[in-house]
Amino acid sequence: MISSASDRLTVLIADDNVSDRMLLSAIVSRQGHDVLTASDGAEAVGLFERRRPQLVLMDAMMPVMDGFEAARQIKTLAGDALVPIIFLTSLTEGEDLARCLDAGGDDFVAKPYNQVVLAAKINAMNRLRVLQETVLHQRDLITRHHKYLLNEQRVAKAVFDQIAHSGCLSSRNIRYLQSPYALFNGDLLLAAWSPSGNMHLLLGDFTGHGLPAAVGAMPLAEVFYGMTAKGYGLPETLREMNAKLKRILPVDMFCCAALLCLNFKQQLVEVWNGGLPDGYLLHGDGRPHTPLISANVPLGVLSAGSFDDNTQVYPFGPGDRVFLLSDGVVDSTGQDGELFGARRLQNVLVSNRNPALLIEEVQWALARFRGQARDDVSMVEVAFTEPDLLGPPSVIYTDSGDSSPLDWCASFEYRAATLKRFNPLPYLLQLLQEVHGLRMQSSELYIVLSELYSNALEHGVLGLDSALKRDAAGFGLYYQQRAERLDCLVEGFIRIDFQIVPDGEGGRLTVRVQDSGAGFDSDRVLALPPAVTQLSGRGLALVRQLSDRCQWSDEGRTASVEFAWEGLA
Amino acid sequence: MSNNPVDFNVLSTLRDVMEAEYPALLQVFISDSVNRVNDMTLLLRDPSFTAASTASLQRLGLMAHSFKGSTGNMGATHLSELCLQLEEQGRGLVAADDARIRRLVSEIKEEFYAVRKIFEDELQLCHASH
Amino acid sequence: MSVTSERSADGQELTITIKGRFDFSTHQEFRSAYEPKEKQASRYKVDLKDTHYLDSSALGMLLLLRDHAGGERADIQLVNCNNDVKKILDISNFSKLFNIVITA
Repeated sequence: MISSASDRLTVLIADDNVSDRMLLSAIVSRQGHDVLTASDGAEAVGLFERRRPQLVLMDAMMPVMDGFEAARQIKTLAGDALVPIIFLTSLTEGEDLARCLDAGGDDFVAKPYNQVVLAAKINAMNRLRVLQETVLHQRDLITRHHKYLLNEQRVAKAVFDQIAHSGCLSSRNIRYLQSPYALFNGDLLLAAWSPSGNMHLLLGDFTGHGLPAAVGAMPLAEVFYGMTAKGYGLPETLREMNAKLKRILPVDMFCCAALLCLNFKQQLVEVWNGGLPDGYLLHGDGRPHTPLISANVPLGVLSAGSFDDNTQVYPFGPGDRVFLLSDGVVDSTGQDGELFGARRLQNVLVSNRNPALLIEEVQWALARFRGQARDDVSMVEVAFTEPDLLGPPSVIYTDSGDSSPLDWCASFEYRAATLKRFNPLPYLLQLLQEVHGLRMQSSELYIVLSELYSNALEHGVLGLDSALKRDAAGFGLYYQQRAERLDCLVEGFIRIDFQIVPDGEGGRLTVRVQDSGAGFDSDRVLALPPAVTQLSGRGLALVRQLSDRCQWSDEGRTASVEFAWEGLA
Repeated sequence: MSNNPVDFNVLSTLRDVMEAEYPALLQVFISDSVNRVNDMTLLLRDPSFTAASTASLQRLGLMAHSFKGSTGNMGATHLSELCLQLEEQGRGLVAADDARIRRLVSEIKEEFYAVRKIFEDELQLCHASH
Repeated sequence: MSVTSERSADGQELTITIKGRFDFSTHQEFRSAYEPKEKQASRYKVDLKDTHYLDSSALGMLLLLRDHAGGERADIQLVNCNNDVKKILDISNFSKLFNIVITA
């Protein structure tokens, strides 16, 4: 598309022959262009620099500086812009014509001049010039736009990093690989401590690329951090994340994700995978690794009513690691179009000797397979660690404590329909946080509360036998039964009483947890030696260790624990 | 000397293209060409000129080349043709022959006078019509 | 890559056939294949026999179709899924959303 304005060109005519110059000027002017004239090459170059004509008609043989040299200099001065140079020549020899082309000439016009041919050539060259100008303009536009976009991404990433890094990704037991622009590939990796000292970790992969893939990350991270910090477990967090994404994302967008809860104290890992490729539980003792298969629809697809928050629970002890990855690893294609595939990945996992190098080894294998490295995949590996080596950072409270309640009691009863879906622990913990004296022990309090609650639910209300958890197979069965029984629960209750009394400068909390189950022989269970290497029985030991006093009554149906605190400094 | 030193079709095109500038073009061509013809004559008179000298030949070749261009544009077809032959001699495109070169230059001189006569008549006509 | 659609004689069932790659470039074609010209079909069939490749935006498009066809009440069959396509649908557990049929 040439506008009428750009049809009128400034044309430089360089010819030492004065009558030829006059004639050509007249012809070009008649075609509606403005004309500049030079009588040798040096003059032409000088005029070009000063006046920037859009097209040059150049005689080859001229005194002072010939047309070839002048053409070379003008092309250099023009840079990226196309300034067509048409050589005026009566040269007929191939070698001479080649010299014109070598010097940067774009076309020839032979003497004697033919007006029609000359006009056609000028127009054709101008079309090329305009095309080049358009291309350059678009290139500059794209470059500007690209810079703008990069800057936007940088800002968005900086804001997002503030949120993402508020977690505990830097913990020593976590290794991960993420592109600096993972956010804009739709990849998301988050980790945070729960109040009980469990580590929650999320690897997500939103559909699409660029901004659309990044917008869901912020709300997802908010839910993840908020609910983890408040002590919610995976099912509640998952339900909330799913509901939020379902509400805000367009129908065709969703987030493939795997969520882990690593319980280092009880040596368990709880897993939910919806749409990510198989992750792996890698065992330190050489047992074959356990695949963590996607058993669910990705987040943001299903309505709250159909969403499946069932998790899998596996033993997770010293030497064990969980390895998760976004797609892009197994679906990498090699030069012959073949997929990298799960088998190649498993070979890398099996042959890995130094856990610290696992992620690098996967990368190398991938680079070897494709013939080039990929920077758009995310991988994360979390290792078991002794709980006291990490521990969540203590929470800092900013209020003064003057209005702290000191003498009260409260009683709660949760019945079957509630037990199925509702986790009361975050709410109860929040309530106890109002008592300043307890804040120093909030982590212990949370662990004991959740132990007592899950004992009451699983062994009391649901009647599950903890002996099942003796081995890995029974372990799976146990959690399967738990889900099934909870699903069809119609009656039963858990009652929780809090009693807070002042005691000198400090105070004392008594928690009673009662359930509707059959009870258990607490004397016999507590008399057993601590089962260090067993998968079951850690719960009661923890409760005894962390609370000031604990006892069971009502044939094991009621547990009672105490926490005391001194006056605040 | 040719029968038709100037192609009158070309001349009428030039009249159209140049409009008011037409007499000026003729004038410029005549005075420029007088110089060129003189230059050629002087070059040949130079005692150092010889068909065996590449440098001399090249100078002559360039002169002929340039003159060929302007005469072609002015419709002096035969003159342009003579220039081409001289250029070929000068640029070593054919075996240079001293006698032939001198003959060509004198033919060019003769032909130019014929052309010049015609253009001067044209100029007279232009002035008369104004 | 091409998308074609065909209605059953009674107008109740719409079959959409996707040839080649099923990815974002198919977006417009896929949408116009089911957006109603006359009245909306009550059953849908997506024939993936000649679909070599399917990416996450294709999964998104299937979700759009599901939404269009009534969301949780949608009656959509994905037929003739080859192994690669089946694998991708499996990872996302789309069998919980669609009726996946290996052969028609």
